[in-house]
Amino acid sequence: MSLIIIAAAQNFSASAQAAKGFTAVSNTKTIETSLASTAKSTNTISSDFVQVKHMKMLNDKVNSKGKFYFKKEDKIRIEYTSPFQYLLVMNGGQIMVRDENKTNKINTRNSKTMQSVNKVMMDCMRGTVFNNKDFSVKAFESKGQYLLQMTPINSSMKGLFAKIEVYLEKTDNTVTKLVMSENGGDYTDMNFTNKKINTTLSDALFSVR
Amino acid sequence: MRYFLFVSLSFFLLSCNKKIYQNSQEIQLSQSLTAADLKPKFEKELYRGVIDGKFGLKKFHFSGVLYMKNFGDTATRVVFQSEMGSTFFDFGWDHKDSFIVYSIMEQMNKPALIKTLKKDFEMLLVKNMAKQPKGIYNFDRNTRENYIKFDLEKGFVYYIADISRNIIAIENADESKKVVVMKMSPVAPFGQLADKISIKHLLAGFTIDLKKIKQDVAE
Repeated sequence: MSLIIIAAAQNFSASAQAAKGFTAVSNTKTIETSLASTAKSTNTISSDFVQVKHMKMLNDKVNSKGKFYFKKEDKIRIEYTSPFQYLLVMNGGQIMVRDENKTNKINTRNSKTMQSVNKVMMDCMRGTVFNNKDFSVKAFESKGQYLLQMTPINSSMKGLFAKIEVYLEKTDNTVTKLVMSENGGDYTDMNFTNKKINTTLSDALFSVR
Repeated sequence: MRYFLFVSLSFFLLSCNKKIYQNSQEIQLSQSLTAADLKPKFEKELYRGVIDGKFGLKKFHFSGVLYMKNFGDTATRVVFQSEMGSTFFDFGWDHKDSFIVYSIMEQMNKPALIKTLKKDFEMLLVKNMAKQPKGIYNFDRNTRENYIKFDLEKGFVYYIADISRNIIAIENADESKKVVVMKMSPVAPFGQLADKISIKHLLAGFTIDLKKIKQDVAE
């Protein structure tokens, strides 16, 4: 079961160079303050996403898509709808995974790795990436976006990720893209579209029972 | 008492030696059949994979996406990744069917597990088999199923086919016990992979269920 979470974690990896069109931000205080302010006023996020796994050596891609939901403080629902059905719900210290016909629950309190993965996901949505002690974070900016590049510090995270890149829109500080790189060079990006902020989201969406 | 022990021991030894495939009748097909005929031919295939099992007292369950790609007649890659994209394992075979582990996540990097998965895929993709089957057998005249036998390094594999040249199942066994049973649904013509493949590891106690995904594999 832990393989699911570890594998999910492996998706999130990043390298130390900035993407094209971005320059390094030396003083990140302004970004941190801005993200904290946005986080205060953000209660829910919902969006569609398109995920593409890039297999470098195979020169091929695997596409999938679904729905993403976040509810303050610590609830996330990632629902794949095509080409397969898969549901991942994080709620506090609990994670629920539902695939074809089976539901599994995981208590992250029993595993440091799972706690870390859970925290990464939450930090990306709450704008608290800079506070994550498992990663060193570098900031870059373009005209319209911030790029937060998370490089794992501890050995367990290093085994799971090469790096995680979080792209944020400057206009509303929402995550627009996540790029999760593996050590072998493959990477997965998730592009978020049709974002809706502070709409009513039922707690039932985040049920892990 | 001594007589009782002798009888018990005899029964035990006899039961150990009991063959699981009995009353075989070797048959000759009207058309010749080689491993190349059975080998699935595809450019790439995508399957939803669900794995269930038990290790000691602990149950495990996980799922992902299985990606298989053939590079002409030269090589094959099999990549199993989580729904979120991270790689569980990435295996390959070169033009001589030599096996390569390109990557495998630490938690799965166990020689016994790699050997088991390698054997599964080699049976499914008909790799490292002799050019000709060792024999073709029928065990039950009523079913008219042909058991196409290839020897493996340990034990053997039967490709079980109907008279219309469809693969119904694949069984790996030795003389006394079945080890792996793969069932195809629906049955797949020779040279094709079935839409649903259910793999049961009878001794290791885990199952792999594969269901073909027919979209969203993009260049």
